[in-house]
Amino acid sequence: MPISQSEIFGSIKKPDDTDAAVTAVTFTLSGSDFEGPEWIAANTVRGTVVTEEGNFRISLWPNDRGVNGDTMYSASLQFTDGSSVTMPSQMRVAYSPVPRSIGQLMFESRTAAQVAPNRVQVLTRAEFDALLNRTPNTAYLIVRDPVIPAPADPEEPSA
Amino acid sequence: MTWFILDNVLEVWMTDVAGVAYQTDILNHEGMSLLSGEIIQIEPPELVFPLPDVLLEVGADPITLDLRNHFAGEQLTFSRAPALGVLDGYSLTFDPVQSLEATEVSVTASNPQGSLADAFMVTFNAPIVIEPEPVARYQSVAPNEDILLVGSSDVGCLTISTWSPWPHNWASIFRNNYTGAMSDPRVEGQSRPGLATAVTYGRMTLPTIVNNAQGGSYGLANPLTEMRLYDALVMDTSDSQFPSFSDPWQYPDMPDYYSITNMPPPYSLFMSTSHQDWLNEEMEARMRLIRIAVGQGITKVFLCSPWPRLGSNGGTQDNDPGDAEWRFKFGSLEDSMHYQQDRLNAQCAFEGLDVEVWLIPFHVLFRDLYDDIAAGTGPAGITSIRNLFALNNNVDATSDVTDPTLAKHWYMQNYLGGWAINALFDAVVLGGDPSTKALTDGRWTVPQPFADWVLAKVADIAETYERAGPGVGYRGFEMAEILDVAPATLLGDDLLGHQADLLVPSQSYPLARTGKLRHFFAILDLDVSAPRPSETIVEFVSPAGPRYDVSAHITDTGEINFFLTGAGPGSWEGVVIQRLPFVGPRHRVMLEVYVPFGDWLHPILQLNNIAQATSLDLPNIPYEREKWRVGAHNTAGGNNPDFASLVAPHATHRTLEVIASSRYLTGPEVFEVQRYLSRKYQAAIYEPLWPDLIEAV
Repeated sequence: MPISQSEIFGSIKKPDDTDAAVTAVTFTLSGSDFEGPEWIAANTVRGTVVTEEGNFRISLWPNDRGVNGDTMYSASLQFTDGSSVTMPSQMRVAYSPVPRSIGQLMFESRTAAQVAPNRVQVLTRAEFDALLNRTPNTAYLIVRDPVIPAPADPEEPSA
Repeated sequence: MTWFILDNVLEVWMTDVAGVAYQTDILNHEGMSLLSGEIIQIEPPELVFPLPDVLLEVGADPITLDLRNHFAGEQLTFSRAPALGVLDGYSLTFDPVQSLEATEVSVTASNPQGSLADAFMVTFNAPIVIEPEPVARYQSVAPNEDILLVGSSDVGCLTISTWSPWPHNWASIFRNNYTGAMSDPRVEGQSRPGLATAVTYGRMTLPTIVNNAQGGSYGLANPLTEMRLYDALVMDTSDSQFPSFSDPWQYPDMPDYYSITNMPPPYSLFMSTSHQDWLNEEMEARMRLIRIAVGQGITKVFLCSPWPRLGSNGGTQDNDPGDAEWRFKFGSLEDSMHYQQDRLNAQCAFEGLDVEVWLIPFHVLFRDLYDDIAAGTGPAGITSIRNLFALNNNVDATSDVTDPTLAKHWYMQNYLGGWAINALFDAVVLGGDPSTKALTDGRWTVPQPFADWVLAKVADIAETYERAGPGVGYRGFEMAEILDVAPATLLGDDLLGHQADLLVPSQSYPLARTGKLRHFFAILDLDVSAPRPSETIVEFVSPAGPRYDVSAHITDTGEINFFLTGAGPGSWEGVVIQRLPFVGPRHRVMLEVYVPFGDWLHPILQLNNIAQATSLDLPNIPYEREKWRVGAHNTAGGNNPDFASLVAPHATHRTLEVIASSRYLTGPEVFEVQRYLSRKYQAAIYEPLWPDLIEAV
């Protein structure tokens, strides 16, 4: 059976506002969990990138769909000069039917920690209004639509 | 993160435990809104209602505290220590799955402006284990055994005062000992063989007698110090008497014959915390006596049930007309005696006392005699229950003491009534055959037809009234009345709706089914911090349009007035309930309403639109201040819509719970609902929270 997926996209910049030539974006699941009959093994997922523009896109299994629900992701970037960067803190991916930016994901992840034990969901006004059943004890953050324009079609994985 | 919020987040909505959304904000540490840029002045948390102690029996339903009902403030988050119970947002739930000794739990409410803690005690007591079918252990009192009768003047009729050897002068004894001094078991040289007394004269409650005895009063006749001399204990029931019950300050429309009532709570006509206090004291005093008695080797314990008092008619005590009103009092008296007997036996079992308490059902005897009189099947010359009551002027030596047309004493019996209760006492307590009982005491003679009539009733009661013991036997107590019955269990399909949690003002709550509204209860948490005009708190809504509204008006003088108003064709008048005292920033009230849609009339009040408000915040004040009730009679018909939903639109007055029934509840059912609510909201309106009846150390 297919497992849930949430799509994350972003663009990687240097501090001087030039595009970072990224060759790989990887997200590593911190542990194993289960969704329905499927056992999601701790593993590394590699996203697709547009090296020259520093854009990436990646589909990830959302942590909150797990039976245990206690896994996180750590993210790493590799660049054309051979250097690499690992994100200093882990992030939690909540399910969303629509693609989200990496910034939105980070915001959700930090906000979830702030409002716990309540849940948090970031969504547009249209998405909020379309909800048939709102989840109890949940903070709904209504954001501009879209937060960041989706990137152009990325290249196929480079490796 | 701040800039992300400023750039991207437009609104924030939060859902409560029911999924109902309300808009909120995101503030930085300086109180500035990150959505609007405005400085939002928020106040630190405030304690509006102290958290109640939680006392539950293991195995009982979980209890959930809505912490928002106790703390006020913006953006509150809650924590508690130690980590007892389940904290989900603002709901703190305790599930008594195993015993827990009294433990202090501190809940802290926090927001950016500060934190505030309040502590309360949580206790889970082991359940009382009651054998499913305990074997009845009734034993009559043998002729050579002595009985200690602890009571007041009415049961003095049993012994020396009414049916005793010549001279029969109970009235004189009553007056001479009115100060409450103990009588010598031998009065004027006469006593009843095998029966000693610790009777006081003049109405005196059992707690007073026991307190006096423990304080050293009564000398050689002290029932506590001399208890080892006796083999059986007979306890009188102190009835609840409020001579000023019809005072306009208290119950302006109360019929006069309720000015003196003997309906002990919890089955009194109207809920009263002071009535309950009275019963609690009475039960505690009985348990103190029973403990001492058992410790001194007494194994036979009996509890006298009272007979209804005649009306006072404003204090003249001539009870005009009285009889029909008098008969009405038996219904709740029967229920109350069951409760009292079962409660004592449960406590004895709980404490491991090897004793059972049996009833001497005087009320049953008087009820049966009355019913024959009313049916015209009594003996010749007996036309009224008043034939059996003593004259009010009890020093009148010339008038016929059985004459029903003369002013009567409100509870003392003449020689007819005295002979009757002695016959029942003989059959139930002594296990004897009262048919051999002498008909004359030398001065008064009971007519044989009267004796035959009474003896037939006595034999029937002794044989069939199981709580008395000697007949079919009282096979243990059921204790149904102290169970905490949920409204759905109690009312079944007649439960129109039950909203068990705080009603959110913006939400409409569908009733469990669409139907007629007859009777409802609401727990209201009112903002009484300042005068407020009449504002709607709760509305029942009909699909066809008509509504039934509860409104509250906080007056300039601090009274809470309730208005019950129905819209639609032929709307009816409002009802005002007032004189609840003005205390604190908020006030919690239990409101009970009989809705005047049907053809129902209250059997006593002859009204069809009755409401009662009871303060849940003032458990220990004089009863006349704790509640207010009033009724009106409105023409029925036309105003009978089907209701489908419920709203609680007020933003500040809060509605914590609503229970609606499609029929009028009986007295015991009202009791069960009120007890359910009093336990849920930890208001000690009925029996104290378990365990009770334990003597304070």
